[in-house]
Amino acid sequence: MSDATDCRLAPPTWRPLQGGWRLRVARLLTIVNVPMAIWYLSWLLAPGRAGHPVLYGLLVGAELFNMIQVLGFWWTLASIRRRPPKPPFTDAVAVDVFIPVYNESVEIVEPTVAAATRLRTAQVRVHLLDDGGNPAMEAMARRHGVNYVCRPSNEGAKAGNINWALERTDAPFVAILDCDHVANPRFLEVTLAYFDDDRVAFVQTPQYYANHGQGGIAETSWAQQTLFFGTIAVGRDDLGAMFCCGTNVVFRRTALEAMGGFPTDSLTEDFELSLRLHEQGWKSRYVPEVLASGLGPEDMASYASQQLRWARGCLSALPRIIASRLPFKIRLNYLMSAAFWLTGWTLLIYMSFPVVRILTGAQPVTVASVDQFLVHWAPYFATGLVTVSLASGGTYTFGAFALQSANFWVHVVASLLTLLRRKGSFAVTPKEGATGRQIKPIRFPLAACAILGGVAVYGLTRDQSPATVNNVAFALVHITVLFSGMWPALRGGRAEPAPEAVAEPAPSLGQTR
Amino acid sequence: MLRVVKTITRPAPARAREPDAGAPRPEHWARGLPLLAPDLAGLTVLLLAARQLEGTPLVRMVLFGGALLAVRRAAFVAWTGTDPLVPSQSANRRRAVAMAVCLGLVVLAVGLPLAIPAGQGLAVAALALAFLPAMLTPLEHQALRACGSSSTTMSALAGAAVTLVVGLALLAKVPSATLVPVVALAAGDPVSLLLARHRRHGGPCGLLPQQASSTPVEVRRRSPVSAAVASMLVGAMPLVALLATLRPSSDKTLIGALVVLGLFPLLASGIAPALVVRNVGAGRRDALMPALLVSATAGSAVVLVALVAPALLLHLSDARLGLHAAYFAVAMAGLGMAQVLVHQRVAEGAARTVLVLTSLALALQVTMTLTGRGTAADVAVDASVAATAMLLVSLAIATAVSAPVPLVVPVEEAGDGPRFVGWALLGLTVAAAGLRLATARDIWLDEALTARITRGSFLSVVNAASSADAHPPLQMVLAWASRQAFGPGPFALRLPSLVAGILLVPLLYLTAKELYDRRAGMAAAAIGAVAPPLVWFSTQARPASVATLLAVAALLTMLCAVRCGRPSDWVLFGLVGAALVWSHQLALVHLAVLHGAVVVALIRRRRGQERVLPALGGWLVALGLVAAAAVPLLVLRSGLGPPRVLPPLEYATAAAPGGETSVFPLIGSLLSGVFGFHPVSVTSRLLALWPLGMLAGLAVLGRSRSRQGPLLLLLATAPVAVILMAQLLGAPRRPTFAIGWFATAVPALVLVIGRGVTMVGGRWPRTRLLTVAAVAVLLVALVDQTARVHPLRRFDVTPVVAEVAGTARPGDLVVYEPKAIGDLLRYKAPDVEMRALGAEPDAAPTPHRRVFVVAAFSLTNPDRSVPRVVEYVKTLGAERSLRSERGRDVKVWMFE
Repeated sequence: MSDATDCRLAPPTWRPLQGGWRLRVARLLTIVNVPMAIWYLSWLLAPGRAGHPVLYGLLVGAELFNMIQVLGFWWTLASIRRRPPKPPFTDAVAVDVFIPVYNESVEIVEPTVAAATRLRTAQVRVHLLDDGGNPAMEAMARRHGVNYVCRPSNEGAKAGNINWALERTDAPFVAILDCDHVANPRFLEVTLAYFDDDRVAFVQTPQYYANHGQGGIAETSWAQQTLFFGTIAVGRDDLGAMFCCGTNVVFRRTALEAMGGFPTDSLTEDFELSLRLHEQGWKSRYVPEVLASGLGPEDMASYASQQLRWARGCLSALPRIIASRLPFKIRLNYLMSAAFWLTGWTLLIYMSFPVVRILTGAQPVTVASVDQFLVHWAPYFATGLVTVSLASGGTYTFGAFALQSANFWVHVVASLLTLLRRKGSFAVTPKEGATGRQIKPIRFPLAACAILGGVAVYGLTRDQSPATVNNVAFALVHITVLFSGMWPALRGGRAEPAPEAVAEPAPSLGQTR
Repeated sequence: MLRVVKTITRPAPARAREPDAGAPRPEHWARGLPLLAPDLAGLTVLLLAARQLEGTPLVRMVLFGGALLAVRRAAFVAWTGTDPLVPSQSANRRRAVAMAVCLGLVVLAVGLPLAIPAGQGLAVAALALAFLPAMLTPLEHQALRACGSSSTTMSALAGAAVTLVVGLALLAKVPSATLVPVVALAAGDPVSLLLARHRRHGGPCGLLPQQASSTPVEVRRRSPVSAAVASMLVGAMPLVALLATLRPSSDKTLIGALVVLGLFPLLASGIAPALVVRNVGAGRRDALMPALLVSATAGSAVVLVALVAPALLLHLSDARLGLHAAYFAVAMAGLGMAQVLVHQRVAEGAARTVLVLTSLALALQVTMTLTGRGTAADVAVDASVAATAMLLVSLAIATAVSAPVPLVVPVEEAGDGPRFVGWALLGLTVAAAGLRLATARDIWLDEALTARITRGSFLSVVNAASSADAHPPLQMVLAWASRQAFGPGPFALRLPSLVAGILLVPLLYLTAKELYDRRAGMAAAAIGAVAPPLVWFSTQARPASVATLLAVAALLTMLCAVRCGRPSDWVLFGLVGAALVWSHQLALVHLAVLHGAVVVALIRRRRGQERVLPALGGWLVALGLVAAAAVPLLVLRSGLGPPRVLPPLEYATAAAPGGETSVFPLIGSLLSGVFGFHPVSVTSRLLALWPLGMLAGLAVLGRSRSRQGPLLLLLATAPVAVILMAQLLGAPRRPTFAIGWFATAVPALVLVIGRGVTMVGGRWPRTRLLTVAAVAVLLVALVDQTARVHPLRRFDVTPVVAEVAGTARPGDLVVYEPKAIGDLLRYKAPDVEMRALGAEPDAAPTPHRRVFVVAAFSLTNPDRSVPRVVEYVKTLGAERSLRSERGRDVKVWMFE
């Protein structure tokens, strides 16, 4: 990847908290959302509402789970407080910058290393932690004058790699950059300023996908990230519950050493480490400014692999969170973050309803209350949707939602594997997308589409009553969402930049000629 | 033969101040001489007619006007030498207007002392008023010669002096104080010149010029003699009708009055495009359609005025003029539209073609006038209508066929949008007309109200519409005019709705294009052409169709006003808003949203440090016009309307969900706003598709937001929300979720769908495919609506009414209950005496041969009406013998 074409070297096209007035409106909307949710829930739980008891139970369970997640989101949103950025840190403090590498290509890593050597303010010592033992990597490190570290074994994967380097360095601060994250020269200048409080263990910055303009998975997965790093992380920071995301983060060495380095027994060592640090009374901070540009997954397999790792790591941490000695507020946040990876189950439940209804006639709520369901549910859904849209500043897209829905199986599989205590292995997210159609990562949503479509056709051939049509419509909604999410994998080929806007731009309403 | 090709660069401010290299030279006189031709021709015809019409005051006034104009023009041409090819500049136009106003004042100052003793004061005042338009053309030409202010003044004063002398001399001979022809003729000719030449340098504003650029525009002026002669021939066409007076035993006064009346719509349809649409005379194709729309609208409006004029101005009775006035006025309005096309073709260098076509049309008119059968008035009107129709159609075909520029967007301008826009629009408009004509039904209850109200005189229509209908009376007035012209049949009653429905298609294109781009425009026009609710509106003699047209026009004019900010744009916005207020009960909701959007735009402009004062002034003018229209309406209707009116029964179809406490009526109404009416089986299934709405909500997540989107959504939902609030709050006149009540929202829905199609489709080929799919779905819905939707049986009184109307004869009596069905009965059997039960003393009507009692219990409170009807039937039964008793929901008894 030449400099001329490397999207990571371009200035970021996104900044957190883009909402502006939209965010303020979204926060105001939370006042409306809560009564809407209560209104819907009170209707749903009213006596006599149940249709088929099992289906009703599943519906109530799924709705309650989602409502708790949504409440958590609104809570986070309501907690956002705009704080002025701290003045840049100017002391010449020593910082060890770790760039862990496994099997990535030199072309990917070299801009990261080069950018790390240009970091301002601090006495920067860049260490390239190569678990792959690649001689070309060593040559490149030498070329840039950075320390090349290669350990004899790969034990503990990324966490083990960092811990190994930690033992061999001594700067009071440690910055960790994934091998594809090209840091802005201001990275340390900005983040070190937040260590003025001695209890701050780490300062996290957004994980920006510079390749989101290529469309496809990179674009939609980035749209998912924007909601987290643009809004949720800001709120988490104000709640004191921001966790480490593994890259673009600066640690206080004493905090890291107090924890014995990164835990090597978790697939999400960053999440686990954050949990332990918070448990020990350390604080975390989040800086809502893009200070490093990386690469997001470019194909479905990479995305699914990344999601599966995160899901398994977070779900396996659930018992730890429940049993932890964290303050209630922070524990609740960790719980919601980890439980998020169960949402695939709710989608599975929702998808099963039209199938069951068409095949057996059973449905979760009584027939007589269908239009009442719409009256109570639609406002809750609509205001919730508007809130998400406004809170994300319009960056959270249908594609992001569809991609998440099409990977519902990841949540299901991850929770089953966690439940069965199957050991997982740390898989590095590929930094370059695969070409060609990828059926394997979408076999489950494909099967779901086939079942939904088949049942819908069967239902229509058997009966065209409004009730059947209604369930066929639900099936269609699911099929459309799943299909939209799967489309990049079905289409195959490398993602290409989104087409330019049409040549005939729409005039603005207030535009003066 | 002169052959001039000029290239003009817009805008050219620098050139405007440069001294004209071609200062007045004698040879320019020759170029200006053709300007004399129309006037001389008109004068010749007038003089010819004057020999026959001597002694008729009205016609002498016509003669005076024509002579006045011709002499004035001749004086100017002779004195200054005018060049019809010189483009105008706005600064000079302003100077010319100021000069004309000054001259008018001079005429008043000098003329009144002389004229008042002779009893001609008003005529002189009219003459002074006529100076404004009459002086404009030569003054402007002169100013453009840049030959110095003294020369301009001298020439103007000379012309004024000649005009004054001739005018006073003629006035002394004319005893009538009828002012109409003076104003009309004096103003008429400059209009055509304005249209032809004054707008060539139009600025970047106007209805269409989104792409204001400095791209050189080639204006070709070929064969100015042909152009002038063609213009003369068109100008002579209204006067050819006077040839009918050469026929034996002709009613000369009547024909003279017809000609005078015809001048009003001719002027309106000719002058309005020149005032409103820029570049219309420069041969720009994108200005043509708005010009024709404006022309048609203005012409239609003035046809109405012209129909009222005999009673108000000329003291001629309606009976004497009869249908002649209506037909002739419509023909003249068409001639005004033909003038637009003439100037368009001339500007594009097709003057010879135009000359051939106008010659043929004039020849046809003259031949028919001299040789046709029937009374002189009949012949004059028929010849004018036929010649105008021929000219209009042939010019339209010539315009469409000759130049591909307007019909096909050039590749370099097309970008990622449709190219064959003109052809597609033409096809869609024709298809829309065909669909609307093919799906018409028999008149039924709601429309019978229109039939009853439009039976009376103009003022009675206004009064009756104010007290009997839920909506303001504009549509009733139009239906009345149509009835005057075409008789009392369903077609005439529905004609305003039909025309509005057809015009809506190109207007939707223009609006969506103005809001977004050509792709959205084509999608909206295609959807609008086949959308079942819009087709339904167009086939009903009810206000909905006119309201939809005006609602879209208000949106379009608002956009133009906000973006261009010309005073005329704001005035047009205000006028359209005023018309809308008079067309629909909930129009104020629509206008509130539009004016709210203006306020938001002004606030944003203010924040952006832009000048807002001119726009603020314009907006206040527009608001003032709306208020001026709304206040008398509110007074006339004692508030929001008559307290007890029949709810819209169009809704009483099988799909009508109104009245139940369920969310489905609301969704059903919105669905019918897109898919129209359908049998219950279809509607219930459509309602069952509500989860797709959830999908739509998700699909717009993260989409880029424009300011147009919320505006359209507000326009589409505000009337529904108002009705919902009225229902929830228990308003005294609880409107149901009838589609007619939120008619103004339906085109907004169409625009939203058009935009949605482009959003999903992206590039044009895919958008086109999606548009075709949407049209196919709507066509299926339309077929279903047409074939399978009938009024609910309990509301379906039409078969019974038709049966009674077929059986009852003059001398019979029909007694009906409730009053609501009386209109339909009267419409179906106008010669039979009708009486509402309880309206008269319920004494047995012995003198009548047979008595029919018709009772539609489903349309009234059965607890009250059933005992009354039964009692009445018993009374009748005691005196007469019952011959038959039929029906269940609608019962009919026949006594002999």
